[in-house]
Amino acid sequence: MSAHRFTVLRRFLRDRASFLGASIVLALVLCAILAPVIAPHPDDIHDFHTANRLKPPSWYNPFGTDRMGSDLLSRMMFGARTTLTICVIAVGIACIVGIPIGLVAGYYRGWVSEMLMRIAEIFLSVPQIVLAIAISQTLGPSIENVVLSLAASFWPFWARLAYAETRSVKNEVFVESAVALGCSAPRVMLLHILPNIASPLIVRTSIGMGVTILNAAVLGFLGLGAPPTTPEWGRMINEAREFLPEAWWYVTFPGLAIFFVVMGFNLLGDGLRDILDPRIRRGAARRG
Amino acid sequence: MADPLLCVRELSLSYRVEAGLARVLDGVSLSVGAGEIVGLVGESGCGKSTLGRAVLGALPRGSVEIHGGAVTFRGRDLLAMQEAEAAREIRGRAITLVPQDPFTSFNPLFTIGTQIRDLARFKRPDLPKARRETRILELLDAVQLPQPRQILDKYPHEVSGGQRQRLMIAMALLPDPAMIVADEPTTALDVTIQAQILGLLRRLANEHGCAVLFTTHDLGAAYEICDSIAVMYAGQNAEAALVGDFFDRPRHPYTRALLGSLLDGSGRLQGIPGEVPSLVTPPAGCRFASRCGRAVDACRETRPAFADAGGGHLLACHNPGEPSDG
Amino acid sequence: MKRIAIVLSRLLWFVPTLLGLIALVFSISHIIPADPVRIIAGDQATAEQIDALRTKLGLDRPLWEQFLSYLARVAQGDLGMSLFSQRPIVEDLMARLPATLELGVSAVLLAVSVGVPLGVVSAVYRNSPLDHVVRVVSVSGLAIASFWLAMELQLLFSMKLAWTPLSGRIAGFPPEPRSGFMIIDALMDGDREALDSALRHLALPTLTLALPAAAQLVRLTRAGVLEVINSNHVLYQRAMGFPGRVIIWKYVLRAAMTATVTQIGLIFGVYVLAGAIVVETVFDWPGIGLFAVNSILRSDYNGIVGFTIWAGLIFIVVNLVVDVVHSFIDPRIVR
Repeated sequence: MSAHRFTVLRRFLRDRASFLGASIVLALVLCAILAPVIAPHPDDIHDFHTANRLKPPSWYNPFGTDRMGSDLLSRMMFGARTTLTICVIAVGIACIVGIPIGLVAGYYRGWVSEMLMRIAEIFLSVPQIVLAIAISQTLGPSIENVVLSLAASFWPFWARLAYAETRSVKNEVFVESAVALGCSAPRVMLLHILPNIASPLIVRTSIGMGVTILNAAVLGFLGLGAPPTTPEWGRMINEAREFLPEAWWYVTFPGLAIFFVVMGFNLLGDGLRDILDPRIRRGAARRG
Repeated sequence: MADPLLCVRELSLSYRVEAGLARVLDGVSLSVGAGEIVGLVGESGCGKSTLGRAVLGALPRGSVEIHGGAVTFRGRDLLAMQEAEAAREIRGRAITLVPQDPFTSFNPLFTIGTQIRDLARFKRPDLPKARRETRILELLDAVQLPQPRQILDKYPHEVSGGQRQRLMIAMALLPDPAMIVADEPTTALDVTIQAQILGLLRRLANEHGCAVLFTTHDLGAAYEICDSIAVMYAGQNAEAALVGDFFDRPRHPYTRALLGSLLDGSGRLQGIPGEVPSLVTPPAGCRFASRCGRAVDACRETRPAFADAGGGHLLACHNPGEPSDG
Repeated sequence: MKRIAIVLSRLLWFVPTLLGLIALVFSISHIIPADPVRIIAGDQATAEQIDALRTKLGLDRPLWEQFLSYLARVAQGDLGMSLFSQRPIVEDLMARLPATLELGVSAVLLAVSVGVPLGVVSAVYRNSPLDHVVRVVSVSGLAIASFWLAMELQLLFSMKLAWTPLSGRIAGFPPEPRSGFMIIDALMDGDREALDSALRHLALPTLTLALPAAAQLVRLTRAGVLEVINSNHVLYQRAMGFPGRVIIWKYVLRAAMTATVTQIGLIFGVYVLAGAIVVETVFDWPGIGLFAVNSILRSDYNGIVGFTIWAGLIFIVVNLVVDVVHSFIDPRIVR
């Protein structure tokens, strides 16, 4: 009895970091959803006040104003919306494409598996951001294209992870017995294998969000992201370049936003990993 | 009689575990004379390995609490010794180790030669390099390893289990120690090789005038090579005597049960009913009381003193069997 | 013998992977919704001129034909012409390579010399205040956007404090370009001023690039050391009184690095190679990353494609080298 209490307590204490991470992520989501309500100057998304441009932080504009005179804090809050939308959809697509591919490739043997994983390897032969840039550049600057290019550069990580996990689980007894009982292959994969490899996948989702947010910010910084008037953190920082060193707030606050949000996802991911500890196959996860 | 080389007196220590404190050693005493081979026998978890590590000073630093007692080696208190001095003078020098698993005790990324030569370099800096090299080859020869020079260039995974343990014995003798702690040295080996290794260990220890503290759960092995035997149960002393006396006249109920659990010729294996008590919440008094056929009230109240029952035969029991019962 | 087999098998994968990459990039560049010929020809071109240009550029032939001829050109080291500069892309890349190399090498050196020892110390003194600080800093280091860090450093050190220059590789007269590395060339010339200038220019970009790489190295090394530090061989060496520094820095470190050496290729590719893109942009560092960004800004498709293929090539080669090095470090793989 007392032994069990200690285990749960220990996990809770270690989860200080993941609690912080979860709070930050929650704050981000709330910010994104409630932006129109809680932003101090919600109209600044489409209105300009050129007389007000590049003002330092004040009570009226807590984070100062940008080159159009818009309130930076408000734009940043709407930027949370942009970021969250882009990244959730991109990671979602990458999962939906990558996990089944990895699952199938790991379950079957033979040249189909090899082919699928070789294709994934090819996508992985270039650093993720480079591929995203190439695709983004080709398709043109728009939110849809950013999502597409991020998803296209991210799916192979999922495929590889799902592949490694499936391979290591495939030889377990419960899979063999499911097959022996006459379960069809899709059934085995969906109902038996997938739930058992879910833990490392969940951890990877959180950390993957962090990476995707950074990549999205880079694309925004390079002008490959959303169109010019859309509030986006990376783009804001790029806009700020020409106004340094005077407009320090223009660079600092969006960058801090990126930092905290990515930290949040990373901490959450680490914390999840700790909680799901005994169920994660360390070996397979590392190979992935 | 000369002072013993190693004298452990009433040593009590605990490990910090999740559930609290596991009282692994409870007032344990032991003595090893110069050149003597002492067998420390007991089942898994009885504390024999911990005692061996305590002698070496190789206990995990953060999670151990020492409650009392002394470990004296050549008249010096090992527990009070500064860490730096112990690491330099005692460990790997005056007292060496033959570990339980020879395979994982080698670093797999370096050649055997590198690791042996490093041992020689750091533990015998008084010898010139050439002399160290000669000594290494001499010892590899003494442990009957074929082609010593080639073995030095090999990696640990390229030699067999028996060869690895021979290497470990050679390394244990390399610094010219006064005592070797052999921690279940044959447990990880094939049965066929066990006898060879044990015989080798005994012969070389005698040749070098080296004492051996040999921990094992195998009474038969202890009988083969030991001068005297000490039995532990659940962190407490049970019995200790010279080997002949031990096997002819065992008196502690646990010892008798152990000996009885060896096939006694009748073809039946007699186990000992019951379970080893929890070390986190150990019973007061003698820890064997719950399984002992001869337990009396005193047994559950006070731990029996580990005292001389006659002729150097040490015993910790309130109600031992008579010597004649055998 | 077995080592040669390993190298050969890796090389064998190298070729189809590279082919696949080129195919991938080729297909990306051909799903452009816009008509590239029209863009190149400009607004004033007539329909005949556009068609003529299309034939001239070979863009009217079937897709697979275009791919094969592109492949043939790449195999000969021809990545096409930059739409902007009208120079062969390979030339542009090679001219800028030393700048990126100097930055990359400095960053890797800094990251390794700071990251690995910190990771070891952090693991050895686990749960100490130092460990906690190191862990917090390394988690933070991975959450910082490189371009933002670059700009903040620029803001503080170049603009406010004027300790470092704003951009470029060197101020004043550059040394004789022998190796292409400013530091080395300045040393060879014995030019103290040039060396000082080059170092100051190199400082901030290197720092920016090194931070995430170092953070990742700290984490990897720490994890690796923690895994090894409770092994039986470490216990044995401690029981046999080996000096602590020998155990840690010789035996434990090698075992820990073995597990992480394959990750180093990844670190190099992701943090240094890709990171160079934004860092060179912020600091106006005339390297390959800046070339890529300029290609983006000028819609120079060939430039982007060429850069991508080139980056892929480097990345594949680095991973190949890392695999080979790994087989050298861990004897169990080969023997």
